[in-house]
Amino acid sequence: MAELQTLLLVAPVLGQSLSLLERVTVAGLLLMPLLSFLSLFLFGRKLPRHGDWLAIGFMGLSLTGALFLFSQVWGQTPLHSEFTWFLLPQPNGEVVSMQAGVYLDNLTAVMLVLVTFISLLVMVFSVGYMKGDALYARYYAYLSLFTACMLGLLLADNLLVLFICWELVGFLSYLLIGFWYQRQAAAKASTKAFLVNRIGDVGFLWALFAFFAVFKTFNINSAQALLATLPLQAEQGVMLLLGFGLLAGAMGKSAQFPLQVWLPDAMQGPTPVSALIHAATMVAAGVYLLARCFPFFLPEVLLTMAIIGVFTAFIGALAASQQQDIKKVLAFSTISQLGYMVMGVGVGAPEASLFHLITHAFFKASLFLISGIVIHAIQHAWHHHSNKILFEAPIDVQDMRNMGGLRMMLPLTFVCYGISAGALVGLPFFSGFLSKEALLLASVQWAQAGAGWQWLLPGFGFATVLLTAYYMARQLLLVFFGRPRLKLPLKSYKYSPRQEVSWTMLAPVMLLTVLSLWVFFSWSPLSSEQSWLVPQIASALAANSFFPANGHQAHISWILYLSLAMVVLGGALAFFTRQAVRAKQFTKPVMGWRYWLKNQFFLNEAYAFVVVRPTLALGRLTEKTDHILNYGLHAFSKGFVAISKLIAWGDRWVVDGAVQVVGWSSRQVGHLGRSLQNGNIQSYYLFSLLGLVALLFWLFY
Amino acid sequence: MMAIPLLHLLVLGAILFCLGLAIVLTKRHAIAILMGIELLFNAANLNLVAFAQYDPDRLQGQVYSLFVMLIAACETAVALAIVLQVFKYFKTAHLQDIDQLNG
Repeated sequence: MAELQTLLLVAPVLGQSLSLLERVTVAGLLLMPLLSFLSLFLFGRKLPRHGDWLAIGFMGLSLTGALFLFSQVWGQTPLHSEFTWFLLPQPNGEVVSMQAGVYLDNLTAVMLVLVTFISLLVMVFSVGYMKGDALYARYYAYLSLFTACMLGLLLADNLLVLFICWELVGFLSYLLIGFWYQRQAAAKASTKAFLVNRIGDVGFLWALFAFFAVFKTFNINSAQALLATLPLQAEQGVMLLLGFGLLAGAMGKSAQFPLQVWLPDAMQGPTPVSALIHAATMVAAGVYLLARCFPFFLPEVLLTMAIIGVFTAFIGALAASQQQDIKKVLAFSTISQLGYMVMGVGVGAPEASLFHLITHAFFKASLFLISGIVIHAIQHAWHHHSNKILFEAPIDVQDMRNMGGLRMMLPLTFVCYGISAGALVGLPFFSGFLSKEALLLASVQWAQAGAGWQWLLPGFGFATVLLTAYYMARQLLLVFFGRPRLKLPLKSYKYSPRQEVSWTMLAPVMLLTVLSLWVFFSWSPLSSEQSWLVPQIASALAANSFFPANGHQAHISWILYLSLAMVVLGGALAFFTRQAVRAKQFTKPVMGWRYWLKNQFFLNEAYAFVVVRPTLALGRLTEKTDHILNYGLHAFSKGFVAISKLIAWGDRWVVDGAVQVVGWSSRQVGHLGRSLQNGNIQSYYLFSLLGLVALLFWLFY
Repeated sequence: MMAIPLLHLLVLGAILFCLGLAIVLTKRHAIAILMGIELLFNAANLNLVAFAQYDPDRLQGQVYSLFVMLIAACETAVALAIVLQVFKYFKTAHLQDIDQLNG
């Protein structure tokens, strides 16, 4: 309730203030997944069905809230409310008041709906996929918390809160990649994802410092307003640091070269998690950040961004074309598509990037969920056939070499896969075509305005279209066509063709697939110009005053034909080499250049050689130094023990001895005196006699 | 009548004193010790009488020794009574066994 309270105390700065109802909705939007996380985390095992209904119900409410906010904001003035977070005294005596709050514009609204919607669908899908898992409640708790943090990231009006949420989603991603932590590969993959992201986040942190140094605020919109008034020539270096830092952060989160190595390994997580986090939402956060901070990038940063983006897109697609794991293909495809988006921001078309982000979220989530269905089906079939324990199938259930011919067993899944794959490769009448065309158009316009070598960039972009078509067609042919390569009787595919998989798994996939069609994004199937989405998103983004060629020229018609030709070429390549691919993939291990591509040019091994091994060597060196230091300390302490033993001896025999001698002697004197008083009257008499004799001697001598 | 020389008397008194002393220091029984004490008294009396030859007119020594005897008789009566009481209490008259004041 603290959150609600603070939201009620706020004062408007930029845009219209939120009405009471909207504030309650925002608070509810954030609190409901948080509430479901807490209840599932604490009491999940005691709830009926381990509480999945609770998480799904709360997520449904969140989606309703997001839709309400969407209806309030879409096409209207942005809403903004903030409160004083804390006061920060400066060295010169000033006190800077740090504000935090929520900022709601078209972009935030559409992203809120996207995240809650896909999260809801993934949760519904997981009911079937995660059935019987030992940590079922924990899984839903993590998903809920992830969604809460992701919504916080989107709603934040300043970079500091955004960074906190950014780290939180990274942490949740770590937990969910390593969800099956008993598998060593999953534990390693989660650690790797976490560490690689740290590298990017160091950049983000530097960018935060630079941001505050320049603008004395973390609020993105206030800083944008300040941008025109600042003497930026003087701040060139800091602005470069800011730009490259943000880019580094985005490269970590959105898996851009050379930090993309964590995403393929992240496929060790449960498949619905891959769909939600590693395809639709979290990895897109980097692109979201770049688009939000677009006005702050200097031309050098934008150029770097464009080159990194298109290079990532190209090598991601190359690596995808040689994978044998069904999820790895999709992972590399995600890297490739994120590369497109980063390139889009770099060539000055963040609205096209965000458009691609939104369309990609739907069809890639759909593709991942479908791969989940396929894996599930293979697993159950093998389990049914061999009567062995689930999850301990001796075959690799994700390996496409064990699939083939699945269109007969999973017809609806096959249709959905076809549509989603069509959207991914960019066939007309699918959403992916519109967004990819917008990105390619932007890159061509950028090349037209720039130097000759800049044509390389759209060139690689088009080559990636070809590769995308190739690897998706290859996957389609390997998984769904041909004959089943796993020699199982058809009936062991448990599900008859009429009921291939439970509706909780199929319905989300179908919904996502339908949303991969063009009509939901633009009336015209061939052009994004008529899209209802793009202009509204563009209106939410501020222009970049540093960018030389920002003017959108006319529609360039040859892009359409060229990209179509590339798609057809790629598809045809996959189709005509299908026999060779099947034969080679199935019998022999891939060799030569294919091997290079499959292992992403041995980037992981290169990192192991250049970074990991020296780090370990350094670690061992410091360990040895520690040993030496330890030894020294040990000798030192031994010496101290010897000295103290000596002192103890002195204490015992000299100091204590002197005291004891005093005691002993007085004791002896006492004894002497006591022996005189022996109670025997005759001895008293003798003593007095002796005394008398002594007296006489003394008197007379 | 020829007076006995003084030295003889003194030597006799000393011998008597030593005998009494030896009895007092060595005897166990309280009554024997009392007897030794009587010897000591008598040694002293002998000295008194011996030195009285230098005072023949007033016979102070002889008179003083008569007093000593009288007092000694009284003292012996009291001492015997005490010895009786001691014997009654301690069931012994051996002085070595009566050492209650041992410090």
